[in-house]
Amino acid sequence: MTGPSFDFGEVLGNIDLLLRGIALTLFLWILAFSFALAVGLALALARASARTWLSWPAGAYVEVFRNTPVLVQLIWFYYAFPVLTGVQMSPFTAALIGLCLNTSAYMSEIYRAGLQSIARGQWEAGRALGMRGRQALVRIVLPQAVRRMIPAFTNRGVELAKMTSIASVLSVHELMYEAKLLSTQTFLPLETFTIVAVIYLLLIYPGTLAALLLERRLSRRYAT
Amino acid sequence: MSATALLRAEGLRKSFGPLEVLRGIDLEVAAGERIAILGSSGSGKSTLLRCLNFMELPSAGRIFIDGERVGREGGRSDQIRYDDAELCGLRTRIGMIFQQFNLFPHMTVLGNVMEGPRTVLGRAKAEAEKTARTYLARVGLGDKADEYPSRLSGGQQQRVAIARALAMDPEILLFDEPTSSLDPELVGEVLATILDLSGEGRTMLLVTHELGFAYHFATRVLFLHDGVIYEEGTPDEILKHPRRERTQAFLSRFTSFRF
Amino acid sequence: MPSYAWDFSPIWRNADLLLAGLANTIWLSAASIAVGLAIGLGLAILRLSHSRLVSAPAGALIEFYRNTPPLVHFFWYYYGLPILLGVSLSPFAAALLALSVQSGAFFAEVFRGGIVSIERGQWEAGRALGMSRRQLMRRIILPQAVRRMVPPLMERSFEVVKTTALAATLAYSELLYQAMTLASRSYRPLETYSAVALIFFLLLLTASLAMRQVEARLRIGQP
Repeated sequence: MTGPSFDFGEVLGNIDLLLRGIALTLFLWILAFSFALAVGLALALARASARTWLSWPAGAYVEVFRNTPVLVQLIWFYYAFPVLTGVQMSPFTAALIGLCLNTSAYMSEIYRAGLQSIARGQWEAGRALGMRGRQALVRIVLPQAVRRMIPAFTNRGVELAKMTSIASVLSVHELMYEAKLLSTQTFLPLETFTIVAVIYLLLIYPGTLAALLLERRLSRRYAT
Repeated sequence: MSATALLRAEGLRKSFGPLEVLRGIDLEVAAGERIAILGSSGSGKSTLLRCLNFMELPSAGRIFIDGERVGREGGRSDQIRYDDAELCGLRTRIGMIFQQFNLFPHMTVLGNVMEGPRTVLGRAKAEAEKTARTYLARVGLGDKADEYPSRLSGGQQQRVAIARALAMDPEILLFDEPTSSLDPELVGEVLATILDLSGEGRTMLLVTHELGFAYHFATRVLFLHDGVIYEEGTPDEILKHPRRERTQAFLSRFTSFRF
Repeated sequence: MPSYAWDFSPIWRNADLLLAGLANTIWLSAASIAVGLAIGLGLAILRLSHSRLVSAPAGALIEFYRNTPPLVHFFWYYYGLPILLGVSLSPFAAALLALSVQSGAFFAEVFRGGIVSIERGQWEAGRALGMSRRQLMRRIILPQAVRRMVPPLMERSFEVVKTTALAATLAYSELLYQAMTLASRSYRPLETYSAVALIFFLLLLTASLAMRQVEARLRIGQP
């Protein structure tokens, strides 16, 4: 039997399909990431709250989303949740909700760690100048905390980008879904999935590099 | 140059990339000498010490231990070749004490002192332990044998480091600014330990900023400047009556210091 | 809105199906972690090599697998690799390969990071005593590095367990696949998926708590 012949050309000829997928991937990512930033903050504040009816459910939420596989979460929102509410969601909506809630659980941890990492001395210095608690938070602690959180947020962004591929299981027409479609259409799974892997690499690697650079800049600036 | 010198360096040069730190050092150390090496930062004093036990490989020049050349010419462009096994063997004869102590945090104090004899010299555990306890007692820390280094003060850690080097029974001891990382009140105990050793006739080279100590400790003082030995002599000659300009300038900066 | 009548009876009746799935999840996880650690170790050694000819390709491979979604690799190994090799792979084999190579890339970075993080002074102190490179690694560097590597290795292994759920897309009968089968058979997706989510949760939470215990223990005696 002669060796396999590679036909990347045929796959690349269908690049428009893949580009459509990339567009949806990006759209899904942007929405999920933005919402997660907001939801994550709310969660972090809830967890830090002294009221147990707030902090305990928030804590449980975070544990649930971090201790179950993402695919299980997405499938639950698409197939199980509608049974409860009686409302059928589109695959995109279900995927968006699942990814957003999942990411927000990790975001809340980042917020929490970031705020805690600012040494007590900073709060005290602010108070010693006569600032009120909230002033100290906004003027002294938060600016420093946010800078520290950015690399962690960037890493989460990278993880989320990888997770968008799981939405394909719900038939969301993002990049992975288009890849599967294309590979069955062309009968070229090897070429298709290789190319799509490279596309993902090109989309995601810059994010990893950015996180690395941000971390380095951060430690240099604030090194004692 | 006499052939009875324990350690001899000829034309020692060391560059780090474009930066030439040592620009030709000629040094002879006889057995039993105690040499204090002074100089401002960047003068090359630490680099000199680190070349002597080949923690840094010299860029040019020759080093002789007991009359025997370390390394050999070989290969292209007159490059010196060093054999790793030879250097390892050499380091069992030359001990080093670091500014940052560098104790092994995952071993107890006793373990640290035993490590050299056991792993490098291949001695049996019981024998190594006996040696270790002897030297720990010697530096006054016999009761701390089972502690971990993190539980000890800086001064105590440095004394353990000294015991660790002594346990190898080296012919030469190199001290690289042993007290520069210590809180002031801990410096004295380490210097006392080092001074105590001098009574045994050990050959020691000490890079330090503690001029008063150098005066009492050393048999010879070297002042390094710009990568060469600018002036050398007895402690009286260098520290009390320096003849050359830069030596005088350097010493005058230590205003708190009176002989 | 009429209140929904929960019915978990299909779950109880088919508990054996789900338990078999759970067993497969654990089996795939364990195998992938074991093979992944071996691959990671090999890659780390290559990455630490002084020769760029060796370390650069290893680095490229590591970055490739760290920056691409696992699902792509599941499909690549299941549909694509057989074309290259001329043999077909079972869903388990494909999932195992994809998971172990990708986790190997992550493990490799943990191994490398652990070794590189040991400060210079330790290397110097060992060398100053006359230790050879081998003695230095064995007695001084590795014992300290391994301690630092354990928490991130555990974190990564935890992620591997979660990622095994993706093997359901290859029709491997791990826990999620069993759930999908049961949900369509019983017409009870809410109960099925909720139950399976709970099983995953208990499994992973237990692992989580065990990990935190190990980390706490490792911190004893550290300054």
